[in-house]
Amino acid sequence: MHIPDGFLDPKISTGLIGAAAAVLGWSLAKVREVVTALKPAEAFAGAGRNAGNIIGGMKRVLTGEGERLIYKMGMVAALVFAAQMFNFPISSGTSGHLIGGVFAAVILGPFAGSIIIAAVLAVQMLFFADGGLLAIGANIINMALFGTMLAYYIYYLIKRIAPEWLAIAGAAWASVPLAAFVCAVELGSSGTIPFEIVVPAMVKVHMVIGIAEALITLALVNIFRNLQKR
Amino acid sequence: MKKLFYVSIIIAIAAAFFASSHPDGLDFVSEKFGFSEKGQERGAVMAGYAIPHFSEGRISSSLAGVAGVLITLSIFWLAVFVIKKRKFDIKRNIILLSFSVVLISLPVFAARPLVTDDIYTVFPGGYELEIGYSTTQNQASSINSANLSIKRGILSNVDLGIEVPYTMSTPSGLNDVFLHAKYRFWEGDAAEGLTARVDYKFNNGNINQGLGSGDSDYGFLLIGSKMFGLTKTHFNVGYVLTGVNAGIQSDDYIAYTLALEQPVWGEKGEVVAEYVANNAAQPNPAFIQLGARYIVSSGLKIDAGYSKGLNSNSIKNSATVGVHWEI
Repeated sequence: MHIPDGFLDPKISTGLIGAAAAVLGWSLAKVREVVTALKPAEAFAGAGRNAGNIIGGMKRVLTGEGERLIYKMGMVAALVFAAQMFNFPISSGTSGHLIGGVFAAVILGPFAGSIIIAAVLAVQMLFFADGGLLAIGANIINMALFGTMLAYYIYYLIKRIAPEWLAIAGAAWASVPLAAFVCAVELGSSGTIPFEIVVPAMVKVHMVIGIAEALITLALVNIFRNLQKR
Repeated sequence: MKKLFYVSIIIAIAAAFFASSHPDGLDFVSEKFGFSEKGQERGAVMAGYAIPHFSEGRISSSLAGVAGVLITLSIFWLAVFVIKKRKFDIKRNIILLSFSVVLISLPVFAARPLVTDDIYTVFPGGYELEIGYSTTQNQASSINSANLSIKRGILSNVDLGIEVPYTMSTPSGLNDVFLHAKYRFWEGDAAEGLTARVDYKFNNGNINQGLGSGDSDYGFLLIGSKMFGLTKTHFNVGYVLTGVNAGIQSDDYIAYTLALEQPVWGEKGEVVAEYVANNAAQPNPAFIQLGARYIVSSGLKIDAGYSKGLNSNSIKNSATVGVHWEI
């Protein structure tokens, strides 16, 4: 579902780059809160009266746990990258591949998840010409915001009333047509192709791809949790 | 965790052999409805998941996959490396309240009452003396201080200066002293030009009494001036390297200011306005100052200014009076 350059109106792509930057900024701020801890700045220790001049003489320091979390994010990103290369065939000469947003978000939370997916998209765009340069904002919005963060919210809602595996499967399935729908809306508003054609076409194909996404996500989450237990 | 890495490598290699070569969902739709040719082909090192200058095929594709896995992983390793190196010194959590901090960004070498400096240097062999008194309301306390600044012209476009701030309210005492060198390297026809300034701040203030920042700083400043009609405009952009174990400040920051000077009362006076800010904290400490100069005789001016902070990281307000004397 990587939009190449040329499909979108430049105004829409640049606007979406701004929106993607905002989403990533929010996610980075949230992750920073987790991977760091507030510690009193050393310099203030002997500051005597001067300390009174300073409110919150604290600074954020990366914790050991936080460092491990970032490495874990790297591992998950690498796995998502590899899994996205694996195109599986679906009916009528079409293939699909994993988004992996729900996998990343279930394992490490929606904010780390969106950063992971954005990192994967950036690597694909920069090194593999997969997805356009200007379209990077659209791709991040589709897959890291809708396919990861919003899909995580679906997972959260289902989990409250149903077993977790159902929540994972449901959210993973929904994430694909959801991202495809947003992608179709972007294509439609760019005037590339009329809404009434692209929206049903995109959503229909991706409802099928979503089934594979759900199965793979369930398998990956299980593998990951088993590896973690050891 | 390492096992997950091996799993990724295996998947990346296997993908080249087992992945379907049919178009994916979006490609399929774009081909079916005939807008696929709108997509622009773009080059990249491993465009199309193939190693450059290598026979196209499954081996090339799996090697590209492994490279992608390593690149993706290295982004996060690199992030840890960079964060650790910077020790995650997040500026926003160090809220700066001392007035001196805002001034450290730009010492008052500039023509009083402005903090924004202009491109002009003192004429060779001449002296410029400035004495000022200011009272400042901080967010938590108030400070009264006196400032003495002496500049000496060395060449037609170079001068040197020293500035000595003294805090008169408790805790009273000498604050950190500044030295500066100013060099005007370009001058246009219409009162416009560019000047570079280097500042050095000593750490002579007694930090245990709340004076000074506890470490020496270096500042590098670019000054630009231009005249529009009778109005002079000046801008300063500076980078300040602060000492790492400084008491108040512990990270480098950028200072930026903009000032206007407008002659009034038939060249007998001037009104001035400026905006001063730096990015040492979030939101950026910033204040605006309005002031006036009265020209007593050529070379002697008296001045006054009032500053108002623009957010909670800045001063609340400040008032200053002073004398400017050229010999």
